[in-house]
This record gives sequence, structure tokens and C-alpha cells, in this order.
Amino acid sequence: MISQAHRTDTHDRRRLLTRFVGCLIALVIVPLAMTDSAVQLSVGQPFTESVDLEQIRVTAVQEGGRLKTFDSLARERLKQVNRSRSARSIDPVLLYLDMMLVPEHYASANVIHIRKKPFRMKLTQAVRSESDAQQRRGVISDAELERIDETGLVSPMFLDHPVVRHVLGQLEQDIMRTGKEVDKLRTARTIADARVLRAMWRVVPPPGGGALDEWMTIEDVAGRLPDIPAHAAVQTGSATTALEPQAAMQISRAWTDLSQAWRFQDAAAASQALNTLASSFASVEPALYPEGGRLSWEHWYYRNNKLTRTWLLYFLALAPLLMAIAYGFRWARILGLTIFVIAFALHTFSLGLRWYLAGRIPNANMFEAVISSAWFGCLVALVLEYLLRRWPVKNLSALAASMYAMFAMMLGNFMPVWLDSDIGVLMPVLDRTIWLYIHTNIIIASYALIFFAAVTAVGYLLVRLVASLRAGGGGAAMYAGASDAVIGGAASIILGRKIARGGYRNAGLATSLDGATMIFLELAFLSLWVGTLLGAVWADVSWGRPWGWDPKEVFALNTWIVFLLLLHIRLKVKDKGFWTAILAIVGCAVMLFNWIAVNFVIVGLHSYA
Amino acid sequence: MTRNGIPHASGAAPASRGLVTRLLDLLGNTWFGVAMLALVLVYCWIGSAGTAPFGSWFVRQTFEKTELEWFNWWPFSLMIALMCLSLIISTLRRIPLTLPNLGVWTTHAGIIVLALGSLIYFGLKKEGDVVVYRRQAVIKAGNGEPVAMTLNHRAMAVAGDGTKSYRVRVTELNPDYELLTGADAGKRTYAAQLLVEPMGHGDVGQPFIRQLLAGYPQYTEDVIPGQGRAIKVAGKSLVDEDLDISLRYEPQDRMFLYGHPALHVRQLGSEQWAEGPLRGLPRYHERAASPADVIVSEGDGPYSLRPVDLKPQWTTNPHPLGENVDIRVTGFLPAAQLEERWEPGGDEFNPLMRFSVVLGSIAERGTLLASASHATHVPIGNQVLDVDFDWIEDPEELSRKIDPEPAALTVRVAGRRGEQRVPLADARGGPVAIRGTAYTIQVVDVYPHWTLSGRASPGDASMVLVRITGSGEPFLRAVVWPQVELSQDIDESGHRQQKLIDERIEIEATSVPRPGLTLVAGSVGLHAITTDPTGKVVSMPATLGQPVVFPADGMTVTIEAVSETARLSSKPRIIPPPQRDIRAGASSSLVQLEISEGEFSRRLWLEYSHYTYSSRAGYLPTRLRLTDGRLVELLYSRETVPLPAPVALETFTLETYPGGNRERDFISHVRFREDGGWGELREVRSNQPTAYKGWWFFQSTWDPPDPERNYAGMNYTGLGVGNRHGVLIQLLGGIMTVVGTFWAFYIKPVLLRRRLAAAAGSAPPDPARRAIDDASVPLRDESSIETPTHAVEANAGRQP
Repeated sequence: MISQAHRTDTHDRRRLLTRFVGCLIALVIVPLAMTDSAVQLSVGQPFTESVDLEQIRVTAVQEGGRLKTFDSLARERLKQVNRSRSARSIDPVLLYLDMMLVPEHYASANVIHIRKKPFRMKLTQAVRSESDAQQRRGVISDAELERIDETGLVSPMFLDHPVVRHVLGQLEQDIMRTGKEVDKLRTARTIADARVLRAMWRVVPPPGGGALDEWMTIEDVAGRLPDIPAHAAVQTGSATTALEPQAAMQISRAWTDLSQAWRFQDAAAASQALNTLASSFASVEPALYPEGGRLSWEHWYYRNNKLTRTWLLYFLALAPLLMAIAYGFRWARILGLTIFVIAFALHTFSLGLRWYLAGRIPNANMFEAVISSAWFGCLVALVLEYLLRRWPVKNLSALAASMYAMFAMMLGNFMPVWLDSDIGVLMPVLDRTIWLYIHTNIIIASYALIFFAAVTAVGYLLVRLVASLRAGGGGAAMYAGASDAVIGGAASIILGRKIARGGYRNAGLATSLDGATMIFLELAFLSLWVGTLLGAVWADVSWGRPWGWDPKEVFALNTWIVFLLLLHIRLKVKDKGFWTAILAIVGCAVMLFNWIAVNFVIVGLHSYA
Repeated sequence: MTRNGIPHASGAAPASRGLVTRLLDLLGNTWFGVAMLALVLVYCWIGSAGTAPFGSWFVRQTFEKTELEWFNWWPFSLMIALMCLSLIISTLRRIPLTLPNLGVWTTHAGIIVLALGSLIYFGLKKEGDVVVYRRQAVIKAGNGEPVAMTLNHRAMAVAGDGTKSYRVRVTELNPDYELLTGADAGKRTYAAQLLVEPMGHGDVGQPFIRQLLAGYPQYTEDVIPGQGRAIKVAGKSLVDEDLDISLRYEPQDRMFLYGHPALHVRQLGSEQWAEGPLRGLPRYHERAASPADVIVSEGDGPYSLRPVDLKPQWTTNPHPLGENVDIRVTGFLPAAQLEERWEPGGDEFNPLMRFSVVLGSIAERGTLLASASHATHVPIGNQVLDVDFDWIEDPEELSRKIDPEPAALTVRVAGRRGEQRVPLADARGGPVAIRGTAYTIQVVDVYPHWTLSGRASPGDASMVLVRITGSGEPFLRAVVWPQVELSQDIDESGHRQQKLIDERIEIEATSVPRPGLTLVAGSVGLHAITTDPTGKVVSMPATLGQPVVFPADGMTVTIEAVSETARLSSKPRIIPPPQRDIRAGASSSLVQLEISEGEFSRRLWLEYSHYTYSSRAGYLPTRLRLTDGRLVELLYSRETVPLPAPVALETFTLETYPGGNRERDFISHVRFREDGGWGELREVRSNQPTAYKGWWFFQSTWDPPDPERNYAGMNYTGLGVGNRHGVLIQLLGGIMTVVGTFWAFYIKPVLLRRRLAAAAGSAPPDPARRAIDDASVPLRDESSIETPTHAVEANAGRQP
């Protein structure tokens, strides 16, 4: 009986487990499968698998003030059309070509993605109400509106519907709440137009032209490709160009061949036409064409998510570093630091590569600022790790830096659009000025240090909390006493041996965390202040006013005042560790508010930084 | 360093302490400084972000302060002053001036210096901008006075000498004109093409275009439209040598201050504006003389529309329009748009009606004028109802409305006497033969409200599409009524013909029914009349304010008001807050003026203009005729201050990234007026201002091209201008704080360590401890600061 009961029990548990796993698989796979089927190309899988896009992918395109690869262009622009999982699973170059070559397929295809669910709910709700008001209920079916609510995918045809246009016009007026989303949607609609995609595809350098001259589109050379295939043959040579007739003819013919092969899904012919186009573009004006190596590197950089997956390495460094801090394992320290150094090397390489590709220092937009800030933080952490290698605060710099860099890289990896991860050109005020190198870097380095301080401050509070729980409420006093031994950050290190007489060297974890917080804060305090002052000098040169009480300036000052308060309160209070930790966290919150809320919500002159 | 007066940490304050000492104790207390710092933090926070992220109360805006004003306000100055005082007292009383403490002293002194520098800087700060156009055309006709015309794409001027005059208009401005021939071939310059139209009686000559190149007067030449260059056509470069036009600088001698609104007035024809700064004008909240003076959108508001009473502080003459004319500001709207609409009132006979119509669940309101040439389209759901308003005095006219003639086509054929009247209803049914001819006509469709594209507003005409057979291939004729001459023929393949295909047959349509609603008022009383597409008319008598129901249409109509007179009123509609662009600044703001001339007074709204002259930023002067007949211009703009010297723009270049459509830099080359001439060429570009007599001029705005409108732009540069008193003192303060902080954090411990090492090697422990305690006070607990001796003793007591 017992055995049978046990078997039944085991059986039930297995069944439950199977169901549970089944549910999990369903939860993960089904949505993937559903969304994956959402964006349909006009060409079939056999074609997409065999067409050769590798040469055309690294073709140079002039767009947005720089020469980039076709792959970059496709990723950057199609991201504005559709960022859904399904679209990300499609090769952007393939999709771009398909949208250019078979436009009629995309008129009614659900290719545009409305990302924000509240907005799309608002849109569909308004469409329902407007349909009712215009007594046109059913013109856009309820099922269709429900599908849009669910998937967020709409077609250009839907957006062109008079009722939808009317609704968008109304939502656009609400600048505060929905105007921005309508703008995005309109941009997506514009880009989803084959004519716009072809107009952006400036792939032919002007023969005998200069580096600043505008490149030509395929239609400038080959003439207009009819949007409806039933119409007459391609008109060739309509544009007046300085192109050699032979080169123009070659491009024109290849473009026509590509169009036909694509429609007939003849992968071999399409590949040949694409490769002919790629080699023709490069040979029109070799002096203006970027070197192949740079284009390949750019493609590699974009394909590898701008190396933001380095966050995994930083993440891996956390565990051994934590063990080294908590238990003092030497092997854990070596392992943690090794992983950290490898991650930092990769991080350095990614920034160096971006610098090479952009032709300028990569700290000019949010993505670059976040990644560079993390890099500066890691650099400082490495220096501190070396200087403090014999002190109990060792490993804390690497831990805090790993955590910061991990978050920064994760933001870059998972929120590339929000951060704007594309390589762009500098706006005039940032271009060709030494201050971009000085002010910006010092400020973002200080942000990293502020974050480090918050990490160790949180650690300190956690350690205290644990101790407090263990000691039944007496921990606070115990650790207050311990932290009292530390009189300051760097001063503790410089004077430590003398003052604490061995106490600090062998200090407990809470004292080490408090000490590290102060070391970071001193550096952050100084660098934030220096950066702000140098920013004022730059503002004076650029805007004729060193200080204009711009929200960004005010919040830099606010962050600094929090640390000023911290330094003075630490002088006065008995429980220094506790108040230091609290104010370090508050300072970090103010810094993040400045970096995120002020940048994205509160308008100021610094809205790009 | 004396320590007299420092309270004993553990003891009670002696009763004999004076008020000054107590005050010094209070101000010198670290907690007092901390409290001031915390207050400064809170003040800065709410001044910049309001109560975000804990709420959405924009505190600063509640007090009608801009950022600069908020931080120049006395509460902030008081806090900073108290903080500095606290800093000074606590530093002097608590921190001994020793080498290790030099850092703290320097930092604290630096903050005081920074505060002083800021006091000077913000106290004397003036900043604004100025738009400098590239060139003006100076036009001199014969012996007449020269007339200057700023070169922008809308410029026009008239110049003459009494015998002959010319109207000169800008037709094209090319910021990057390339000289193709001559010794200067390949050079680029600014070029203007001006259309010159001679004016006067008799043969004054034909219009011509004069082309002028900046810097190359020798290449000035005329072009005769349709014929070519004058040199080739007439054998001379200039068509009319009596007309002298030259390009000169367009210098500016004043700049417009940021955030300083002002009213400008001048008599029409005068170049000079009288300026009246509007100090105390609200910035963020709606104000009006009367709530009836503004329009609030449905669902918006409510707004507390109290009046303001502000007198412009005229800078030159306290009565720029004469003592009899008093101008006061009575309202302000931060974001609004002027809307013109008809309202009952005025003296002129101009019947007006307000009505409402309900169709199904949808209600609409409207205002109609009897003088309107066409029906008003009232959108109701997905339908459009055409509503007409007729003022009728003659009962017969009303009868004709209620019982119209049946619609008909009148056909005349060349060679056939007389005409044939074919009822429209008959011709709709099938082909109708025209007697005595081979023609048949058939109505294909009727468009009661036919849009005459480019000619008139919709609803002006009706169109009947008639299929005509009998002379060769059948064709369609669009018979337009009442504009008969606009009738056109359409061939088999659907192409409209320039000429009628068959001119022998003439068709007119009369009394084509216009479906819709006609509301009638006048001595015949109030009536509501509906017409359906077939021409069926239903008429109902109406009473003011009482709904009239048309059961067949499911429509209810109410005549809400009728007035024999109407006047056009211009009222601002407040832009609801969610629809406001917060980057727009003052550009969509309006002020309301009350202009009193003795007993007579009137109110009007003025829209904001960024400058007192034309630019892409908008220029919207309002003209007003005073009771004495003078025509004056009023402008709501900004306060101006003189520049150190007039500034002129030599060239303005746009640098772009590859491709030409992303701006990389803007480069202005300017000159200042010096000693009667123009000074050296100075370059201004992003991050590279030019300094002149204590003022910095930096690149601020520009005249962007607009390829869609074929506008090349680049006609002016926008220069920011600012003074910088106290900046170096601020910088000194900043450097002192940095050096001091670095010293306190990193140099001081090294000094202490050395002192300790020295003391440990040569002296007993107590003096060593004392050395540390004396020097390290800022880093130590307050108790040890205030009782150094005790601390040392206590520490000493713990020595092993």
C-alpha cells in the first residue's frame, strides 16, 4: 500500500511537473510563435535562405550625415518602423530590400509596430468612438482592433484610413500625453513607404564629387522603379548624372534584374544582381568610397549588438567578487578580477571601435554617455583596486564597477532605442570642441562614482540590517561604533595605520563598506564639482552664460549639495555610517533623476546629454 | 586664532552671553549651515522641477517667475547670504588656520568668492539676441530720397522722386551664388534679384529684374523677363539708369533681452518704435480684462481670468502716441491663438444667426451670415449638412423658397429656333430627344454643391452631368450653374476638353435643387426649410429658441439668436495645457491692451513677435486707427538695449556633414562700427564667440533653408549677446573650492601623517595626538571639535 501510494504520489508529482513544464514552454514558445508569424515577407523561406546578402549588406550608404553600411541603415530605420520580437528575428537588410522592391505587399501588411500598449489602447478606443460618431462602425472591424490591441501591429493602410487619420490628428494635439507617440507612428508610416526607403538608400557616390557632396539614390541612376509591376518596364536613365553611361547602364540593369528576380523569388539571379550592384557602387568613385575594413567592422559591431552583451561578463564577475568580499577567498578575488578585467578589455574595445567608426569620441548621446560612464567607472575601479590592494576595502571597487557596468550594458542591450544606440553625427554645439572631451567625461565619471558609493552604501545598510536581526536589535549601535573608527575616505587609508592602529586594517565588513563609500564619494564630490565648473566654462564659451539655472545645471548642483550635506552631517552625527549610507543613496537617486527624468521629461538646453 | 566665545560643549550657556554672541552661536552652528544648505537644495529643486517626482505642482510658475527670476528672488538671496554668513562665522570660530586646515579654509573662502562673483554676475547680467540680416537694398530713384529695404524673401519697397516711382520686390535671394565669368569666376557671394515695376501714368516702361551681387557692384545688371539680359536685348546693362540700387550692410544697434516683454508703438511710416517694457507682466497664468474676451475650448479650464493693470514703462516719451492716448495692459495669455469670428453688434446691417442642429445623437452649433456667398458645411458624424441663411423681407421671395420652380435643363441648338425646356426629373429617367435635332440628352448625375477648384469656395455652384448623343461620338457635358461659362465637355475616355466638343448645343441648368437646410429671418419671420436631393421642400415656421423638428430627416433645428447687425471680433482661444509646446516659450503668448482716447476706449489682443522686424520667428504688428485719424502700429515683443556698437553681417555660411542635409556649424563673419567705418572681420561660430567691449557675441539662431518651399534661407544670422561681469571672480571662487577640497581630502592626511611620524619619533604621545586633533577637526566628530582639550585628554587616557 505504502509503495503504491508512494508510486501514485510520485506519478502525480511527475504529472504535475510535466504540466508545469508544459505550461512554461507554452508561455515562452507560444507568444514567440505568435509574434514570429506576425511580419510576413513577400518572399518565401527557400528564397530568404539562399539569397546572398553578404556583399550588399556592407555596401556604403550616405545617410544622416555619415557613411554607414546598408546593414546599419536597415537596422536603424526599420527599428523605427517595428521593434517587435518578430521584426527583430528578420534580417533587416532582407526586410528593407523586400519593402523597397515589393511595395504593394506592404501596403496592407501589418508591418508597423505600436510599441506602447497604453497608447495603442487609446488609439483603438478612439477609433471605435470615432467610428461610432461617424456612423461607420464595422468599417474597421472589432476583431481587427482587438488584434491591434494585442499585437500592436498595424498596416500603412490602417494608418491611412480616414477615421484613423482623424483620430491621430486629435491625439497629436495632446502634446503632453500622446503627441510624441503619434509623431513616432507617423515617422514609422513614412519610413514604411518604399519611395522613402529608396530615397534614403543613397548608395552611389557622385563621380568626381567631394566628400561633402550628396550621394545618389539608385533611382537617380537607374530611374524610377514602378510601384505596380503590371505597369511598363523600368524607365532607365531618367536622372541627369555625371555617371559613366556604362556604369549607369550596369547599375540600371542590375537593379531591374534584381527587381524581377526578387519578384520571381529566383535567389541565384537576385544574389548575382545584388553582388553586381554592390561592386558597381564601390567602383563608381573609389576615392569617395569608405574602405571595406571599416564597413565590415561597422557591420560586425552592429550585428553583435554593439558589444553590449558584455554585461554578462560583468555579471559573472559579481559572484566571485562577492565571495571574496564576504569570505576573503583569495581565489575568488583572482577569479572575479580576472573576469572583470576581461569584461573591461571588451568594453574598452567596444568604445574604441565605436570611436573609430564614428570618427569622434563616443560620449555624445545617451547610449554613449551611459557606456562611457561605465567605462570610466571601471577604469577608476581598476586604479583603486591596485592602490587599495592591501586594504579591507579591496574588491569593493571592482564589485561596484561590475554592477554599474552591468546595468549600463544591460540598458544598452535591452533598451537601445530609448538610449539611442545608433552611431550619429554631433550637433554643432558638441562638434570640434575640447570641452566635450573634458566636461562630459568628468561628469559621467562622477556619475559612475556616485553609483559606486550607492552600491557600497546599500551593502553597508544590508550588513547592518543582517547584524541587527542577528543581534536582536543591538546591531545598529555595534556598527555605529565600528564606523566611527573611520574618519574619512582617503584620509582613513592615508592615516589608517597610525590612527586605527590595526583596527582599520582588520576592520569588519560594515566599516570597510562605509570606508569605501567615503572613498568613492570624495572622488565623486570632487569630480562632479570640477565637471560642473568646467561645464560652466564651456557654457560661457558656447552660450555666453556660464550658468543659466537650466534644469540640468540645477540638478548637477542639487546632487553636489546632497554630498555637501553628507560631508557636514557626517561631521556632526554619532551614527556616521548610517547617515553616510542614506545620503549616498539619496545623492545617487538625485543623480539618476538628473540623468533620466531631467533629460527626458524636463526640457533644458542639455536635453541631448 | 582666538577661541574666545566658543561655547562649552557639555556646559549650559552662561546667562551673561549677549545677543550678539547668541546670534553668532546660532549662525556659526554647523547645523544651521546644514539647514541652510538643505533649504537651498529644496529651493533649487522646486524651482527647477516643481514637486516632481512627488507631485506635479510647478511652484515657480505659481509665483510667475522664470528660472532666472526665481534664482534672483530675495528668498534665495537671503538663504545664500545666511549660508555664507554661517560659513564665515563657523570657519573663523571653529577651524584653526593651520597648514592642514588650509584646504577647508580655501574651500569655504572659495564659496564666498563664488557667491560674490555670482552676486555681481547675476546683478549686472544682460543677455539677449539680435538678428542681423546680410544686406539691405538702398533704392534711389532719380533725385528722390533713398529708401532702404531689408533683404528678405517678402521685402517690398516703393521709391520715387515725384516724377517717377518704382515698386521693388525681392524675387530671389541666393546665399551662395557662384560667379561664372570674368576675373572673379569661381568666387561665391550673396545675390539678390529684385523685380522693378515702374509706376505712374502713361508709358513708364516695362518691369525688369535687377540682379545685384554683394561685394561686386560692377556686375549689377538687369534682365527683362521673357527676353533675357538687358545687355543683349537693349545693348546696356541697366534698363533704367535713373534707378540706382545698391547693396549695403543691414547693421543692428540694439539687442532683444531674453524674458523681458515690452510693448512697441509707432506711427505708420515711422522707422522708430517707442518702447515700453512690461515689467510685472504675468508669465504663466491667464489673465484678461473680462472672461468674455477669450475663448475657452470645451472641456478646458476653468481659468481664473482676473485682469491685470499694467502701464508700459515707456523709455523715451511717457506718451508716445500723445497725451490723449493712454495704453494699459489688461490681460495676458501664455498660449493662445487669435480666432476671428462674427458676433452680434456693431452698426452695420449684416444679419447674423446662431443655430444648433441635432441629427441622431450628434449635435452641432454654428453661426451664419446672410451675406455669405455660399452655404456653411456643418459636419455631423459622417454627413455634411449644408446650411444657408437668408434674410428675406419680401413674402414672395419666401414663397419661391418654399415652392421653387422645378429644376430643368434649357437646351438651345444652333440653327434651331427657340429653346427646349427639359425637366431635370425627365432627363434623369432616360434620353430625351431635342425636338427638330438629332440630339438626345440624358442626366447622368447631379452635383448640387460642386467644387470649383481654384476658383471659388465649395457650394458656389451646382453641376449636372449630361450625356449628349447625336453628333458623332457621344460625350459628357458638365453643365455648371449658375456659372454657365464654366461648363466643360468630357470625351469618351474621360478626359476634360479645353473647348466644348460640340459648340452647337448649349445647355443651361436652372433651379437645381440644393439639398440642405435654409434658415430664414427678416420681416417674413423665422422659417426653417429643408430640401432633399430630389428637390422636395419642407418648410416649418420657427420661434427663437424653440426646436423645430423635421420627422422625415430625424433632424431638430433650433434658431438660437438672430441679429440684424454683426461685427467681426478677434478673440484668442486658449490652447489647452496638454496641447502646449513647452519649447515654444513666449512665441504663442498674447497681451491684451486697453487703449483709451478721452472717453473712448477699446481693447485688443496683440500676438507676440520675437523682434521688431521680420524674421522666421514671426513678426505680427497690429495696425490701429486712432480717433484722430492717425494710423499706428502696435507690437508685443521684447525690451531692447543698445549694443556696444552697431554690428553688420558680412557673410554667413552653413557647414554641413556629408550629404548636405545635416548642419555641422554656422559661421557668421561680422564687423562692428568703429570710428565712422567698419572694423575688422570677426568670425563667430559654435563654441567660438567674439568679444567686443565687454560683450560676447555668439552664434545663436539662423535662417534655415526650406527645400519644400524652394527657400534657400541663410539671409540672416542670429547672434546671442551677453555681458559677463563677475565671471572671472566666479571662476576664481570655483578654482579655490576645487583646490581646497583636494587639499582637504588628499593633502591634509599626508601632512598629518608626516606630523604624526615626526611626533612619534621625537615626542611623547600626548603632543602627537594633540597635533592630529588640532588639525583634523573638520573630519572629526563635533564633540572633539568643540572640546579639543577634552578630546585629547580622553584619547590620551585611552593610550596604552
